Amino acid sequence: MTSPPPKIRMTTPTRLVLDLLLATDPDDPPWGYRITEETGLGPGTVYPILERLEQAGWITGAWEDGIPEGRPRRRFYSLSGTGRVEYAAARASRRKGWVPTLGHITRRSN
Amino acid sequence: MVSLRSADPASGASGIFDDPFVTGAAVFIGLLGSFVIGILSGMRSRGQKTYVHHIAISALTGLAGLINGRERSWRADEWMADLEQSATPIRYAAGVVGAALRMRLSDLAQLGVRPMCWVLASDLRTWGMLGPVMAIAIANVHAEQGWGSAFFTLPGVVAFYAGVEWLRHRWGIEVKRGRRPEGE
Repeated sequence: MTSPPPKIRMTTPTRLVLDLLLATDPDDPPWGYRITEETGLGPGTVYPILERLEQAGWITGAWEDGIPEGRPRRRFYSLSGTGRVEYAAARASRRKGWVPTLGHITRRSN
Repeated sequence: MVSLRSADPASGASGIFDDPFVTGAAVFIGLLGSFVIGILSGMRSRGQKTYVHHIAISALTGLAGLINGRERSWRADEWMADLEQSATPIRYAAGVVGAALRMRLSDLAQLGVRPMCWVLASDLRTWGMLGPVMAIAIANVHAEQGWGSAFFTLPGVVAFYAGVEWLRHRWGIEVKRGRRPEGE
């Protein structure tokens, strides 16, 4: 049985990572260490978020092309088209706050 | 109490260092400690600090790999590449162990969440399970304390309903319902 894509919770660290990915140039994608440096989050927080976002299809991870000299290959991350759309929708619904939940309950009661 | 001072011949009491075994052990521990500290500080002064770091980092990344499991073994390459850059590699490696732990815990949580999602996806399953429990609770309150107290459990029922709806909304669960006739 394949597991369904995880639901992305819009926590502050998740938003920080997504904002960074949204702001970066596609020709210069960030990798794990750079994300920890630029967001100020620890690796213990960043890697699980990256994994969840990748499983949900919001971001794509790709290994660096070729074999760089003097260091191991990095894994670059970039926001996917789905990720852009979903993140924009999540931000829009976040602005509304609890209203959708209450609306959902009252709609179901009728 | 045992005295650390040498024995006083006049009093006849014996000191701990009078025992040649204890004295020998103390000297040995002292020499061993000095030796280890000397080696480590010598390494540091000769710029061989990376050797000690390398052992610590390897141990931590190995631990992270063990926690992570076989499915995520490729992550070790990513972490090693990122560790190369870090100014505080031991701290970063400890963070990586934390990341591995969180990923594993999230796997475990998924195992528990999936049956809950299945239950919440149907009104029949949700209220078929919660309904009797709540009915028994109300009946019990009524039997113990009378109707007055049973009446006060009603806000609890409403809170349960709101909680179920909130969970469904938060987890994005679509409820399966029977088709209603057109025009209703």
